[in-house]
Amino acid sequence: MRPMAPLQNAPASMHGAFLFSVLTYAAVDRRLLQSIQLIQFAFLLTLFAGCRPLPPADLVLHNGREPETIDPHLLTGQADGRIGSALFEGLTRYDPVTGNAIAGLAQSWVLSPDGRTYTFQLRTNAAWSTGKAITSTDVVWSWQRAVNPLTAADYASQYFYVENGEAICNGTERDPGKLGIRALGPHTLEVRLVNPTPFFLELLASRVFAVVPRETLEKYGDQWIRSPGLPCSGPYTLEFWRVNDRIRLRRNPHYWDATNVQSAVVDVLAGDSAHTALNLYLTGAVDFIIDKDMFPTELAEALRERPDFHRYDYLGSYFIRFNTTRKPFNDPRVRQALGLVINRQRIVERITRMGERTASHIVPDGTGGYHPPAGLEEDATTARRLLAEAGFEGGKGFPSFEYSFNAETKLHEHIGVEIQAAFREQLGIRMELRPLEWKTYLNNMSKLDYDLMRSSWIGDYNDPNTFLDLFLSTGGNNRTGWRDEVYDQLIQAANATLERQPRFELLAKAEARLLNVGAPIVPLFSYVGFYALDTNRVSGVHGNLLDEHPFWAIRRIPR
Amino acid sequence: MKLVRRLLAIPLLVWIVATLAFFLMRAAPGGPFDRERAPASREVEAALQARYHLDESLGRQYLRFLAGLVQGDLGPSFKYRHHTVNDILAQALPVSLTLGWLAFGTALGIGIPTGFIGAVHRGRWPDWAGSFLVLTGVCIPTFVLAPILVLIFSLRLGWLPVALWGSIPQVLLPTFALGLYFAARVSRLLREGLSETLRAPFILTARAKGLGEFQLLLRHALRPSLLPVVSYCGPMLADLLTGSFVIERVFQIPGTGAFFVNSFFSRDYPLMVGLVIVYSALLLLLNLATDFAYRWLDPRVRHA
Amino acid sequence: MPEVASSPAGRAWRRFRHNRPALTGAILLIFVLAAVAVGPSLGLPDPNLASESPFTPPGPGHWFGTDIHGRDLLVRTLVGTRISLLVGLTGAAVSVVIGVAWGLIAAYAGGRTDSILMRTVDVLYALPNIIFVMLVIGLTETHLIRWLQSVAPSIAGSARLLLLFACLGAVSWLNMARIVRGQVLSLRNRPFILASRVLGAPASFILRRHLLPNVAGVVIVYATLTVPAVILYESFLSFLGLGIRPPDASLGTLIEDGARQLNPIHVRWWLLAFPAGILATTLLALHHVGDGLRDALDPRSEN
Repeated sequence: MRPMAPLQNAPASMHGAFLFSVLTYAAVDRRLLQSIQLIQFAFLLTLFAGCRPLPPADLVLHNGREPETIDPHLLTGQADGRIGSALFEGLTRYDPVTGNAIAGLAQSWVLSPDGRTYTFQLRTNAAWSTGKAITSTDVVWSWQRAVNPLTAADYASQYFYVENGEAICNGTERDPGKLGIRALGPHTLEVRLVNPTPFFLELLASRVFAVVPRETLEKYGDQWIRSPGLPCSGPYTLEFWRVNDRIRLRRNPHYWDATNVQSAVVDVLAGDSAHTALNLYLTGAVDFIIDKDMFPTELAEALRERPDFHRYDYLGSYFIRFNTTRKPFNDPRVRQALGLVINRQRIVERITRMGERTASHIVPDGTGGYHPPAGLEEDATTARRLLAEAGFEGGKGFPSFEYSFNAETKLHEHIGVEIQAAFREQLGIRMELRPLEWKTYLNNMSKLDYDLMRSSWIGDYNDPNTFLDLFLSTGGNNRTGWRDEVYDQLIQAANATLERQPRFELLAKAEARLLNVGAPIVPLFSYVGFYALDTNRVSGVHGNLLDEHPFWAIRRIPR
Repeated sequence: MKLVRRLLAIPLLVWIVATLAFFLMRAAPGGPFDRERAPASREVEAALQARYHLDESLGRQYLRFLAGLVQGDLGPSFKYRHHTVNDILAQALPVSLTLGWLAFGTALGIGIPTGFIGAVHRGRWPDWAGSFLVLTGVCIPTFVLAPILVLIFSLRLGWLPVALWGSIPQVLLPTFALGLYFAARVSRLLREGLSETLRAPFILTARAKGLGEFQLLLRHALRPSLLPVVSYCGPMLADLLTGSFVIERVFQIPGTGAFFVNSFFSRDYPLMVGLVIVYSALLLLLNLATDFAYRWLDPRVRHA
Repeated sequence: MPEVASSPAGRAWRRFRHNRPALTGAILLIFVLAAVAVGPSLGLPDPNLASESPFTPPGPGHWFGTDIHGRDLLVRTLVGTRISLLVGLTGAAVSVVIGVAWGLIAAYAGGRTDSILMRTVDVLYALPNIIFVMLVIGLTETHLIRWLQSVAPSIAGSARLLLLFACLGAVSWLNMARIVRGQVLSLRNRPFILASRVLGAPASFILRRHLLPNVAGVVIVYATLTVPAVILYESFLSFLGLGIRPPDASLGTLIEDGARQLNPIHVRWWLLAFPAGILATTLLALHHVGDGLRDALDPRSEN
């Protein structure tokens, strides 16, 4: 990695002003003068530690936060994932238009009649950026690495659909070689699944199934991704990485589809401030703001009117968790009552204002062709009755409790204020707002140390299961203390069902139980994403439910 | 002799600060690997903890940290997992040092003249003009001032780039926004110091001796008046050189300021401790320099 | 003809009274204090009451406009100013008490005591104070709330505020200590102090009668700088979830909210202009009062 130095030259004018003003006063005193000269010297030294200016890139994207890791197996963030996908590819990849899985390193595949065995044909022209061919042993090794608990990949759970994946990941099977993947020849692979998995090809496009270079990993360990001449399997190679500034990508000349990679050099900027991202975009320093978090919500109405701001639905739900292990929230009637008085319309129209769709269900509309059942809609009368049945008529005797949320996004506070008002006005109960700093928030959530908590979930693949398996009794992401055997059985039965419609019916039954009977959560709305993009300036970006916009398809339109 | 002793004390103090930071960070709720998504399995979590030695006792972790520290290795960043703390500092510190130096220059360049004029013309219009500037600097927080400057100079007038780092025009706005805040304080402190000095008997004596007003101000009055400014300069410079969270965020500058907050946010223990070490070493050195600057600015201190 | 002065306090008051900017500042400050003290109860809506008219520009009904929840900005600004002034003045007061004592003792005692005290300041200064604030709030808040609920339920809701007072005071005295120490170092070998010492005055007398009045000027000035610093630091803490608990507001959080309106597309100016204007006015008044006090208390500024 090329290190960098900050500046090329001294900003002479400012330096001059400083010199002038201080020297005027120092002129009489030699000693003062000398010491000032010393300071000046140090000053200039810092400035001249300069470097060459960067040649401009062909495409500049604003990617939101600084990636934590771009190791495709380890990364979890969306910003990280976009770079992971640009550098490494798996058997399938995302279609830039629909976001669905299309052929990647695998050119074709065959599914066995029982739906449990895939046979993949790798492309014969698939190659690392070093020019070396990518073979089926590379794929097998990569998968075994990802699923190995020592790799500590958070998304290793995606391998649970593959034979022995779960056993290897939780340590009951010590030999990663037992994973259900096998090289039948240099370009032929066989993958065995636990159950028929309708969304398996979608999963394969996710980063945790990407193919990574074995030699480099074994040689450099944790720092492998920053090693010189890093072999990449995806459309781009990593030119340099300046933390908190940018990652520069250069087209991988040996990528099997290199001719369709639209921009040769791509700068991916990192920054925390949505307003700054907007300013950069408006002045033309950034071609495309790809990250939805880089959208200043204060400007929602104004920006929605602009032709260059594009709204799209995506797989994300905003909801409230109840701690069902705490009184009085261990009573489902209390949870239902609270859920029944929230005016979602008001929250969406007045607070979030980006055109979100209200949702009383956890699975967003349209996920993989599934139709979610209705949950608890606003009904204050029933709510008051339920609360009275639970022993808190008119809110009397209801203990004081807290709504916890992470503080760094103002939106959560605004939503909290609305919910607080609804509880007070409709049910006569008092709720305090408790802003938390991020890690405390996560810690309290996983330790069940909260009463009510703001939550959200972004789907990993286009299937309702990605939302519904959260609330399994054994699910690590349940985090409400809610356990329901009927729900667990429904989900298991659904996922053992091959046919689409009956499977969806079982899932919908499970979801209805979650929302209306157990009610450990209150869904509020499904997220929408926005990206800032002038279609006269940039081509190749299309809105899709998975919010996937592969870099290789994007290019700046020459003026 | 005293200088040597103070210099020798610096590593000791840095060690104390680092130790405190090390243990206080770990007392904070939540850990570096708490995340929104539960780990795939217990083994995955255990492997993660083991890789970063978080499964060891606190004492062992501390010894490991000290052993690294002695060799100049601050360890891996927990959040930015492909970077060591040394990598991050090597990238971010030069940026913050440059910006900090420039802002320091601006702060003194604006603060000293306005404070000086304010004291000499106390109560008259130049003082009022200076006060206005000072109040702007004190009352308008950086997170308001910086976006206003961007709105005017970048978006309205189009003279300067809105953000990013690497060319001279990109440096001007952040330098000014950062410098003005400190300039206001410098100006205020100097104005007070100088007004105080101008009332001292020795100034009357000097005046009685018929010394020219300009000579008088510069040769006799300015030096002792700089004392409060100088004591402020140590911490101010340490703050400036290690970066500003707000400025770096608004101008998207890859310095260390953002890491100070973010490493704490993400419980990136090694990065936080590394930054604290850099900051405390800088601060202690500068405070030492300040104390010695005192001695020759004000001869009376020397007899101490 | 100068009046015949009765007492030092009387002389100081007379000097203050004749200082026009200071007097104006004092009146302004009293006005602001009165407004924030009684204003919210003069028929204004509840500061946390949402209404059906979000983002209304200033006009009759809502003189300062409304925010995202349709809450009245005037009353929120008044209540916020109250909290912020409380936080800022407490912070400054704590910083004066601890800082002055610390700096005086360090400089006057000198030698080893000085080294130990000042190195302690260095160490504390070098530790990022968010860690400290975070730990205090994170580890004690729940206990404090529980304790208050059993002892004095009426103020249990202010637990966070009490902790903020403690934390902000505790992190803001360090610079004060350094500055006071610097000042005293230069004072303590001056002839009048040496004379006093030679005449056998006890250290406490010298500290009280000679050193304290002579550092008062710088202390007051620095304290007036501390007030805004503390007020704004609180808004930074709010950003981290460690400040005032919503839906309550402080001037700092209101200004921070307003600062989000600084963009080239659509500016709701009132959200920033009013809170920032109040802050500026208050600080301006404070600045001049500080100046006036400093002059009034200075024994040498007799003529």
